Amino acid sequence: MKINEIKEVIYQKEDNGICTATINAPERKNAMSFVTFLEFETILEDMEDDDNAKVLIITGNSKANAFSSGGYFNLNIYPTLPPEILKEIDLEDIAVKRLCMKLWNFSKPVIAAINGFAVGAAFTMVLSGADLIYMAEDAWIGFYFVKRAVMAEFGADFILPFYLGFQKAKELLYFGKKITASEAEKLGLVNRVLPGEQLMSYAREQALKLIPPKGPSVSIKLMKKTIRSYFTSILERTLDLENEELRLLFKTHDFRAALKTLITKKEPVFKGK
Amino acid sequence: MKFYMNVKDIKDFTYEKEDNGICTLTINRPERRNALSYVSFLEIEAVLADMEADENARILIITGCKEANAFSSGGYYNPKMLTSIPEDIKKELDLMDMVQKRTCMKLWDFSKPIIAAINGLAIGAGITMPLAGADLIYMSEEAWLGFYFRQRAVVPEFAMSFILPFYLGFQKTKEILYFGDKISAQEAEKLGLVNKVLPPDQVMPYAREQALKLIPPKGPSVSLKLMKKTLHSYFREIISNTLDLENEGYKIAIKTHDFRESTKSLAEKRDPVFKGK
Repeated sequence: MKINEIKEVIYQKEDNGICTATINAPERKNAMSFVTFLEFETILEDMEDDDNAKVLIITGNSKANAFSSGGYFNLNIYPTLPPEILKEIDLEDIAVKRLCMKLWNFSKPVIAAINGFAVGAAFTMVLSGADLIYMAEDAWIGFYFVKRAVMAEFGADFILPFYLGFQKAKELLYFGKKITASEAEKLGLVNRVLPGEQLMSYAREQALKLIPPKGPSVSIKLMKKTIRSYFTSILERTLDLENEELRLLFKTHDFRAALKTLITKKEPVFKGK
Repeated sequence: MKFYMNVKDIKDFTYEKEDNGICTLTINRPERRNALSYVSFLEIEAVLADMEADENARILIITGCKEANAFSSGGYYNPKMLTSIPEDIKKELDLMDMVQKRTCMKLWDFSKPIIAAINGLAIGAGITMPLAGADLIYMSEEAWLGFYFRQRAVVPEFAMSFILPFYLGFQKTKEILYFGDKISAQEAEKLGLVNKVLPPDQVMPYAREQALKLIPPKGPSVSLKLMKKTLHSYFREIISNTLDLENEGYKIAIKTHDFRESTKSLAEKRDPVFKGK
């Protein structure tokens, strides 16, 4: 995929070094498909190659009234893709290991500005992928995996217990909890919560502190690399395990039942198989 | 591996299985404040094996009997009781496994969810076992925790030496373990050691309400099993290694003067006078 082909993300580069990636699929509440994830990979590659691209801010198109509603499961979009793009997509990489590791190994700082609700992969993607997370005070996070009879991806199965301990991590995941911005802040899942209208300007202000002339970017790059280095193989292992399990889960009755209820809007009746 | 204890033979607990899939294990040794012996841990293993083999057993709630006025007062070791244990059960006990590594790993590997309903005081293994073994912990607002290892001049068990710093950081962990102060339910909640604190009569109903959300028809149990497996996977080796280290530490600790002094002082109902050897 080439950088000028991306459609599901709006990618802007400024002279000061700030790059912004805005998830742009308001008709589906900014849900992210494998194409969206491929577009993020393309952006990261573009930024690594460009000395003048110094820090990435990720946010959601506010028209969606959401940061992102998470993973987009509709398989119908893929046959319509140009073959050279379809070739680059790994439909079995449900844990999104490839993008997760690209984000993990990305050398430059990444800031997530969660401007609206973030469900499922929308949050786990920035939990492992963003160095800093700022959130709008009326935004919320939905750990809705269990409602879809799936499980977390993007390495969250390691990161959440690592941040919260097992009991609190399971509280969120087993019950598919929705948490407010202020609860997320209290749990230590996000760095700061702000009024919605201040979010982007704060993210940009912080971004400028991380790049020249205000920020010593070599030092920050090396900090990032060193902090992450011990965890790289752990994250990879976790992602491999998540992929193994997710592939099994996609075959279950309960997964199909949950998908159906997306349309019927009824409570799913699970069978445990 | 043949298991010599049958769930029908368990004596330290009452074990109930309901049609809806909820299994309840109630510690039932009020005369010793629900203290848990080596046999108690073997009985827990028997229950886990029974539940793994039974598709209709979907979730385990562990709690303490009301008469004990406690969840559990921790580990119980009385050399006299060994003589009254039947041979085939004694064979299954590993008396050198003082930190209960075998039980801990069985709990860690158990595929179904476990909820601890801490309805009263939880000292020593009374809290370390739920922290290592329970997915969720709900606690009575009148209950409290006692990481009483220093008072007994021993070391913590059930992999607390890893789990507590993992949850709390080293400084807070050492504050708790080095001084052995009582921790109230409210403090436990603030520290993030338990999921929720409730009035005493609401603990079990809440635990049951939550349990029903985790099993069919409300809960997608395959998904939950795989979540648990993945969440636990990376840490399994660490937990196992920590338990080995804790057993090593325990073997040294029980040979000390201070350990004997602490046992004496308990019986004589006075403060221990430690010598540092």
